[in-house]
Amino acid sequence: MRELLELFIGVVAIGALVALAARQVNRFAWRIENALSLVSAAMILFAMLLVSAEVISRKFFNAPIPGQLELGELLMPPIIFLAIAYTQSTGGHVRMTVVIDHLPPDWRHATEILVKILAIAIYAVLCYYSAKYAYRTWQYHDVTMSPPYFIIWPSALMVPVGIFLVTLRVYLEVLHLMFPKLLPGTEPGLASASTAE
Amino acid sequence: MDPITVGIVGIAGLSLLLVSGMRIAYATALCGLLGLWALRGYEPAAGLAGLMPYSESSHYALLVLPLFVLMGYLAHHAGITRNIYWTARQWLGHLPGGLAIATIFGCAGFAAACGASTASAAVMGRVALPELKRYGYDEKVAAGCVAAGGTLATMIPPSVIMVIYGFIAEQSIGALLLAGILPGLLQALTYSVMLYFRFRANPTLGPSIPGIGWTERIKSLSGTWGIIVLIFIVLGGIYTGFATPTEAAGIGALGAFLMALPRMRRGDLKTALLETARTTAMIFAIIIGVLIFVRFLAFSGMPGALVDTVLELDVNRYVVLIAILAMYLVLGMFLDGIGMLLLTIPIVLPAVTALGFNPIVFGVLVVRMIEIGLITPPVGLNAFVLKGVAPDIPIGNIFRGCGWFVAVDLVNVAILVAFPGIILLIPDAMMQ
Repeated sequence: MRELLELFIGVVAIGALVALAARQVNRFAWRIENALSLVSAAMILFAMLLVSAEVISRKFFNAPIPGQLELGELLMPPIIFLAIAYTQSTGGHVRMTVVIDHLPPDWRHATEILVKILAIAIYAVLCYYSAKYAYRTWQYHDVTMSPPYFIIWPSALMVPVGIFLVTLRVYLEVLHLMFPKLLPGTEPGLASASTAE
Repeated sequence: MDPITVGIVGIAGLSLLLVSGMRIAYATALCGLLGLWALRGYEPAAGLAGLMPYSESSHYALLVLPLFVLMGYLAHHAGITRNIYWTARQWLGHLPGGLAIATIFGCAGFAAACGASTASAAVMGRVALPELKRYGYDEKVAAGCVAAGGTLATMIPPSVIMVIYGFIAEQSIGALLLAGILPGLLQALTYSVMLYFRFRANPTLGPSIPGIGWTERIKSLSGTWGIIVLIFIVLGGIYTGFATPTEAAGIGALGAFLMALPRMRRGDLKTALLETARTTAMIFAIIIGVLIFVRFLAFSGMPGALVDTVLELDVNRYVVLIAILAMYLVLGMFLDGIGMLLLTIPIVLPAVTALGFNPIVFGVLVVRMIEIGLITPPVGLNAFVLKGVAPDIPIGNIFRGCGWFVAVDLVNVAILVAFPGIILLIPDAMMQ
């Protein structure tokens, strides 16, 4: 419980700092999101080549690639979490708007902000505890279950990194909705936050 | 509060958040964590929530999802969509409503390379709608063909939703993928029969295209080699056991990549990969959020209580099955398919299997119902995707055009409930 309180203070502190330089942080976050989404894209291509190489090598040359399965598993978290903030800023996460579409504009605005703040709360918790998990895998030198025993912390670390960025993105959206002058919708990465969606 | 009450409160809270427009991934994770907190205490709940994003995503079997998605995008860039549509037009154009029927079969063909209904509707919308418009086909019928035809992508393998069902229901993903083939073909066939009779009764809906000779037809077949190769790799690989679904998807994506390579412009590959990354992140954000919620539901004891209640009901098991399928029809009008599947299957499946239904048959039926939800108002995703492709068609007309297809879909589901052998024929043949 103390951890939760500390986490809350941490989130508020980071939020206050970000609000001081909202536009700069927003642009910087947008650039990172784009760069990391390209890393995710490259990993998908790599996964395709890896899996194909395994099949060809095993079936035709009777020589399975050692560690192919383990590497494929380790690729999944980075593929997902390095693209998760980019997905948020380009409006890719699914939601249901059929009810709020019929709310009066003020109510809708307030609802949007409220659910985004709840989203920040849950994702901050996920970020902290997945970082803790990643730290533990580093501390104990956790490896994959079968040979060649890859270390897993680089893959596990991508989870909190991605969740941190998506939390930051949702927070920037809240700033945009609450203080459109501070962070206007013309800034990059706020497409999915505009209520005209 | 006893655990079951906590479970019910959790479901009510989740519904409220979803209705308030919270993204499914966040809402499910939030309610799941709060529920786990209430039942197990804060530390274990938070620890579990921190572990699950990693542990639930690092599965080799789930690598199949990005690879299937990528294959669909690359197959489109390889020109496969246009070629299949052209072939279907040459062969079927002379029938009443020929171009509409060709659109259905074009969708069915592309479905063999594409695993997501919305992607298929978007792509086929761009290819088929201008052609249907050029020949003066009725706008409602044209839109209905593409929106409903798009749902074939989920029945005919590869299929993203089937993989997710297999993962959560712990069924063989290969068997599930193969189980979709015959129901998918049946769907395409019944759609076409419906269109044939509608156009014969009312030729003003749109003309047929006469005068295509056999030489032109044979010639058009040369454009289909790409999709035939992909079917051979993916379905052949899975059916013969030559490759696991993940491996078949990898080779299939590589095949589509090689076919697309000479035709892609600068940046096309980057776009396809980024779209794949985006779709993957979207799917897995939901998977992880929902799995946290489902873990909470399991602790609350709700699924077990539901099984007991259902088994105590003194009604024919088919009544229960039909009631469950009807529930999916209603839910599908509002909820996203993947989220709905993940949320309900852990609760519903134990009850259904306890009644003696085959989980693979049930999977195909549920997926059919979810696909119907994509073309029914108010939240038919395929209709909205189509609206994005063709902004000049009013959304109401798109939904009206889907009406006939929904009716045929329900007939299809009835046929599958009555003759589950249609679903099991190919997977059973593979198992032997």
